[in-house]
Amino acid sequence: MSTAPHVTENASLSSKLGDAVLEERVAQLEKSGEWPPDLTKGDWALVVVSCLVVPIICLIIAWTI
Amino acid sequence: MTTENRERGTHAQNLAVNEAQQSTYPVLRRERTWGPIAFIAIASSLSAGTWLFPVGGAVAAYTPAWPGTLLMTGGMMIGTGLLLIGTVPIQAKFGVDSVTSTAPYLGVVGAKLSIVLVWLPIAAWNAILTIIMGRSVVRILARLGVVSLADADISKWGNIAGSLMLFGILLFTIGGADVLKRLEIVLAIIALIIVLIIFGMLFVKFGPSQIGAAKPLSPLPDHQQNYTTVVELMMGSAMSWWPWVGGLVRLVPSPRASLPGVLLGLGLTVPVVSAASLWSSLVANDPDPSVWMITVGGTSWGLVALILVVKANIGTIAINLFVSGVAANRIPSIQKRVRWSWNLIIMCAPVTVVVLFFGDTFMEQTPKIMAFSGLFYAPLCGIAAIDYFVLRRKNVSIRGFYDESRDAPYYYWRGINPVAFLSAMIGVGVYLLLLDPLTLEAHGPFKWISATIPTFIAASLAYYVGTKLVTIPAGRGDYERS
Repeated sequence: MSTAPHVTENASLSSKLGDAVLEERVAQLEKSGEWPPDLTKGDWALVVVSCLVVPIICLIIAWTI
Repeated sequence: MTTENRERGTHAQNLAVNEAQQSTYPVLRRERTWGPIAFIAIASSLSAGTWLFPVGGAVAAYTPAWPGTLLMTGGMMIGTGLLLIGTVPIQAKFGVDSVTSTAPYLGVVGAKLSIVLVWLPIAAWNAILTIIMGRSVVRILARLGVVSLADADISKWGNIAGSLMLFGILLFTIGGADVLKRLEIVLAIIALIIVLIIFGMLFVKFGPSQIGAAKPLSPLPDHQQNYTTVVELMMGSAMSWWPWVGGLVRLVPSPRASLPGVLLGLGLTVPVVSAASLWSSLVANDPDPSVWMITVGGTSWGLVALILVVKANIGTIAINLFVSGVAANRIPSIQKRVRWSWNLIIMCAPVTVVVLFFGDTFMEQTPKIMAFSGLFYAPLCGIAAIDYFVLRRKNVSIRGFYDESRDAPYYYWRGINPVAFLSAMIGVGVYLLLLDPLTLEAHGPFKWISATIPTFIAASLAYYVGTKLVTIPAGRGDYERS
């Protein structure tokens, strides 16, 4: 029975990562690219409003009252 | 397939998911079992710990109630923003914990050194929270007339009660992330109800005018310095979430799904709950919770507040244990040879020793622990943000997080990136030039620029320059792929 290319790759990784479960998982992730998406522009807009605009308004009001 | 086989398959899958969540392995998207709502509850439950009492009490020294509440909110949310850009995009995307996420900039061996930055503050806080929780339980029992103890005995029996409760919490945490999720959701609901009761009692007894008119306890002569000190205290509190964030957001399906939990749970909950402590400290003219709890509301109030303390600390200690157990798994010999339950017992052992034998001495060090717990994280967040977004353009190697071979992407020099360590030291130096974290004595332009923001900027700029001048020309750090 021939060995699938990714299995051979995993075997060679064995000495590098030193953990069979981790090696399998990393290889799987590299192959599938199973990442959740990055934050979108809309998400960043929410961060800017929550962490910059709202705080500045709070600080200005705190200064004036 | 028979029902029995299907059950066996599901059980095996659950075990694999548990193993991934409790290890430092990257958690796959399908294994992340905390949804956005659950994460808000978990993060809020973590935030609503007893540590918020000293925060509100400290702010009461500088500002009256209404400006103080606004400054706490503003400072906390600015700090949460700085924390967020240095942690969530990379940790929630790749499903890695706080320690592992430092490998691209500290180096794959350097990342292991950051275990200290995770474990030490969490263990210290667990000891403090266990002591407070145990003493609160003994006080509740004494107040209800169940036991009769002298003040001196409350400490001793409180420490013993705390240790026993720590063991009980340990049993919950052994159940893994899903048991933790169910526990924290219940605790978050209880916390919300109790905080509403406390605010209700404050308004009924004192009213907004009396709360608003209460003078700060020991303000500085400079108005601007008072305000900046409060903002700085809150930014420091936000940065001190660094050890926790990775251990939590890696169990949430995506960076986007993490946002509400981070912004509302770790961010907004802190000033909201701290406001109860701030207002109470102001009207009681004393920042000590054990004093204002009784002064403000008498026995019934004290009882409610003590129950809140116990509830809050159970939730916080459980999450602390889980996160420190995950961090310890970064050490391969622990991950491979030590079972999850024993890992947590090892995490608990030094805490129990401190609580049982050095409880009083340790409690006296609380202000120093608070002061230093946020000092190192602002530089790390600055370095992480500039490394991930600017220098690597979000292009990191998942293999590199774990690969310790000489030709590994993040091997740098013997596994350590000296540029990152030097940049972090520059950041800490800038902080210390602007503010003494122990005495809160400010220097130079602190009152205009604070300490955390320049620290964040200085460390990230130093890292950028060092990487461009040293690391990239030397062909280290895998920057050529970006």
